[in-house]
Amino acid sequence: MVDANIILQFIVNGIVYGSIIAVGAMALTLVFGVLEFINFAHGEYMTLGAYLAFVFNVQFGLPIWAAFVVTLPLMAVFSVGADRIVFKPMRGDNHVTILIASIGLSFVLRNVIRMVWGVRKVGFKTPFFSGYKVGPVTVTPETIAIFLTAVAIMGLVHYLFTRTMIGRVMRAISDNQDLAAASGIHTERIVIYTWALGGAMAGAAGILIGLQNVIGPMMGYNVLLAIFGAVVLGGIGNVYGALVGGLLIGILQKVSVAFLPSSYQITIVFVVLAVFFVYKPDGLFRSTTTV
Amino acid sequence: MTLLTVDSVTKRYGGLVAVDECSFEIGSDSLLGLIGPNGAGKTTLFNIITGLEDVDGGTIEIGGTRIENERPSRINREGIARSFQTTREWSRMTVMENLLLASPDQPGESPVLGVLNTPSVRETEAEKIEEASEVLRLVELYEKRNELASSLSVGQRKLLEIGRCLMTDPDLLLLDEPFAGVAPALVPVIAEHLGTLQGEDLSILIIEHNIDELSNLVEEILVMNNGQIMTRGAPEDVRRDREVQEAYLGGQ
Repeated sequence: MVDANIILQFIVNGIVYGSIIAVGAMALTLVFGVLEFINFAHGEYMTLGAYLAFVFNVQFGLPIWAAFVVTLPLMAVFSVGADRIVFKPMRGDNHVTILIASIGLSFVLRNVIRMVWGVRKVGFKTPFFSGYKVGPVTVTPETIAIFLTAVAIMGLVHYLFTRTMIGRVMRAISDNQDLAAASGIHTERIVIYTWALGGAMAGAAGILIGLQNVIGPMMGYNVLLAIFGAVVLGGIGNVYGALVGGLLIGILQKVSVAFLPSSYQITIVFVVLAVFFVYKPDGLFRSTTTV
Repeated sequence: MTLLTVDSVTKRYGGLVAVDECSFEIGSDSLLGLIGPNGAGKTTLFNIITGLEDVDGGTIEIGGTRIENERPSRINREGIARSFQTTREWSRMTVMENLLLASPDQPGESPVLGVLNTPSVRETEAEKIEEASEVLRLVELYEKRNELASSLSVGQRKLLEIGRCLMTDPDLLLLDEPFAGVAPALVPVIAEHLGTLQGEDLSILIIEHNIDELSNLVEEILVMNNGQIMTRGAPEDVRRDREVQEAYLGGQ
């Protein structure tokens, strides 16, 4: 029998990891809501975010929080640029074409990252030191910082969608783009905002993964399956669904380690998902309408 | 005065010519009907005029400005609003929000004003809410303003579409089957609204299958067949026209 305290520790780990997955999944599903395609290069967006922050943090010597803050706008610009160059020319084409293009972009980015930064894994320079015990659970300042940052991002996104004018327009576009266009909303402009937000969030998720673990060319790709799982579990296109899905998948993955070898983590997730979809094929929340 | 000029517009889907060298004009302050058998190209024509689909040839002008193949939002700002055959609304938003989203120059499209709640943004919002309230009273949906659009009946959704179109302050309103699926009791309500709306610098073109309904409402009917306007005229003349009867009314 597994010790209850260990389970508790894994649940805490899962919540922290899940909060990162949730941020990544919210970004992916946000872009899907507006553009109706799943960006397979999303993993590399996260990786790139982590490496950019690494450059600012380790090579330029900025504190990690400053590196984080500087990286996000750069990732927003990168994401919009990638859209202009790669995806925009194909808008209106078959969705499969754009999907394949995003897989191509994923390969290109991953290998450019390998060329620039090499394959050796690196890490951020942080002022954090070893963890301390809260009851039976060990937490590190890193995990607390990661979790709080993820929650802050979620809070900001929620604020954006529910309290701001731009959020209202974004919701409208992800709900019905033709209607928005016919009603005089400059949809292409909102597409740009969406990519910017999605890119910045992907970068943020990448940095958080790098903080929790290490930075390497495959880091984003390695969590992409979990993120896909979270997106689909929450109902594809639904930002809040992705949040819940991310947390559930994170917890599931980490708790599974208590019972099975850690390499089975993602297998467990997909077995559970497969069973879940037999009963609820649309995900936890209806996906026809987003956010 | 001519408001809309459609000149030799053509739209092909592969080998199928949906709109074939179609030409017609709409004057300002007019109330017109557009009829034609299924597949005549009526909805495609609406999609082309509003920019949801590109043309393969021909030109479209509103108020002297060329708009063919322009993006839909720009065409809307040039003064053309439309409703959809199967009603479209932002279903998880309130009736009020549905109208606000259609209002021109909303702060939500600006990257700075869109995220800030500055006093000027709040002031603009208050003005828009005032304007939207007026429109909602006009289409008798004011009482429903805080309800989700998904809770409305089909007829109310048709009214919501008209309200949304009016928010964009159009010169030309294109309505795709505004009476289809509407409870019979609501049909005269919608018709009456359309009657009162016309004039005041607004022209309305209505696609409708029910020629009886149209005849009581519009001044003139355009008949579309095989992607072209085959004839146009006063409702009673169109009904008597033998070609129209053969093409549309099945020769009855």
